[in-house]
Amino acid sequence: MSESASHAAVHASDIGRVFQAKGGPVTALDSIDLRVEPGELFGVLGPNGAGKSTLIKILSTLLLPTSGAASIFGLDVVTETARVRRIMNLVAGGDFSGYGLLTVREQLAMFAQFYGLPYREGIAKVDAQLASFGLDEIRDRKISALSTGQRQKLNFARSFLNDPWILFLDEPTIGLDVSAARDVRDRVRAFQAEQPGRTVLLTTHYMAEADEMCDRIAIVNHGRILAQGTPTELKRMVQKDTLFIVGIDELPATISMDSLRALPGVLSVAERDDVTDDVSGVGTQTVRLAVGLREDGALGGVISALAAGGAHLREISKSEPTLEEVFVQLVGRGISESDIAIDGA
Amino acid sequence: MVHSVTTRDPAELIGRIHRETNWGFGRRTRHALASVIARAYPRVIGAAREPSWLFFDLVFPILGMCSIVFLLRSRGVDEAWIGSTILATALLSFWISVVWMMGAQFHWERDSGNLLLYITAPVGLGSIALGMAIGGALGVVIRAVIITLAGVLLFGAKYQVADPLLLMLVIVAGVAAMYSLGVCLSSVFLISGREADHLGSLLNEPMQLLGGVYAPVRSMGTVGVVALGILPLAPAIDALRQVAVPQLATTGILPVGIELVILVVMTIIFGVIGRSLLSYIERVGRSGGRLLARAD
Repeated sequence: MSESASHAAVHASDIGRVFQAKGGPVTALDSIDLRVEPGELFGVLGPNGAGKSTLIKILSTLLLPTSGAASIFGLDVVTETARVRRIMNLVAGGDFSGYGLLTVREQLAMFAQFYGLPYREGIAKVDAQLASFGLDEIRDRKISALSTGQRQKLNFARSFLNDPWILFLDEPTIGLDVSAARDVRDRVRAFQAEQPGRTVLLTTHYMAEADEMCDRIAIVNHGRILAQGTPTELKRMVQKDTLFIVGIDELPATISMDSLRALPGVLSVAERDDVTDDVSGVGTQTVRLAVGLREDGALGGVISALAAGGAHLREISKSEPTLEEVFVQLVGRGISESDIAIDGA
Repeated sequence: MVHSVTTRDPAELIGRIHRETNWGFGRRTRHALASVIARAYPRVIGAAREPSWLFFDLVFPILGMCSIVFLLRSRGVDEAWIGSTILATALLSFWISVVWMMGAQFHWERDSGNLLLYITAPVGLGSIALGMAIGGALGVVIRAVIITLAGVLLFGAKYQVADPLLLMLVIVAGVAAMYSLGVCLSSVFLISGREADHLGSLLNEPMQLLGGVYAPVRSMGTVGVVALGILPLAPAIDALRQVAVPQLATTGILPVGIELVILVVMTIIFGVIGRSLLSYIERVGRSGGRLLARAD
């Protein structure tokens, strides 16, 4: 294994996975190359059947690849499974694991033993996680009596017990309400912040979640990575140029759209139709111009020209494409609700 | 929101992680034992928390026992057989636990998502299975004692145990052999998938006959001898009958000592086979992709 690979949190090289199905072999993953650095929160986005879960199963030692090699912090997922399992944990969305007759605290205490924590340390960790996830009040409630949100919080509490260096999250917020999902995301961020080097690999259907949480994202479809990079880099793939929305009180009579378009670095100028009535008490409407620029620095010329013409600046905002738009362009379709409900590839 | 990516020296981090994952023999042994106890806990505590289980696991066997006892009495059979029937019913509760609580367990664990968590945890399936077995056996002990006491109180059965230690040995060896077979069954049930329920039924009533629960295996001729060699229930009940009900000692197919040895050998053999099967299902599960995790 190269030094580069051994220093990565996740390193996958030419990973492939073929399932034998009744209708013939089905390729779930095809030559996946992936590198996740220590401390990263890496997202994997893809539609139903894209291969996201297959990838996470291989990396979490649940499934063997049919080709290629993968390692977690330099430990081979095929030949060093026992060591990999000592530093990882996994949370899957819609997970209803556990024993209904056990209480919340007993369930966590049991898993603390499975994760190899000494008894006293394990109990201390359990109590700390109960407090951290706001589960203290239901610590003596049976698992069978928990709501979906409480069970998922319990799953997260379980996954933090062994202080994993890598945490695999497979659609972790599926089925959670907005508030519970936000709580969980906050805890994941805090978990990473507590110990530099902790790494999270997340699969999700929720674009906003990926955009908000992930340092980098890989978009997969039909078992292949179509693109990967930071959310900003991915958005740049769709929109090469910079688009600013400039709000002014009115377009000066002395300035034409063509004169603005002729300014250095300006690619396009168009008046948007979302003129808003005055709500600020200034006394006039706000006219919005969509200004396409070759680079951010060209904006200064536009602002100066407008100001010289007597326009009063109301607002400036940078318009970026959404991750959804990136996804649609790369995959050819969006992620529908049906995908969210049935994904399992 | 973009977080910092690498906030420490990767080489130092990797070195630390590799040291942390390098568990010595002592730590691995302590971890395995702690995991066994942890997995046994739900079995023991669960029996006390679910009253309906107590009802079904006590009332039904006692009703079954009563029907046999009334039949025996109506035919004027020696009272020694009443005591034998009560003991056999008590021992049978272990077997039923082996079939449904051990055999079917991994199948259920897979469907509930627990098996996936076991596989991805650093705990071995052997520790999980041993914990299931020990917890299951401990959980059934109380039921077996209550069934025996109920039989004694209802029917006035009398026992003459000349050697209590031998009695304990027979019970422990019998239970150990049954649960050792249960470890094998847990893998077989998992592999059999949807056929698991049928397999459970097959191992229930027919095995009560072959195990000599209500009639000595000696009366079954060659079939009884074969059962004695492969089915832990058969030598366990046969030996128990000889030790606790001396009037029926002549019905034993083999001396108690030999049956004890058979039970110990069964425990070892089934244990080794069970261990291999657990490794097999993990290997097949990881390569096939369908055995360990529920269908999504």
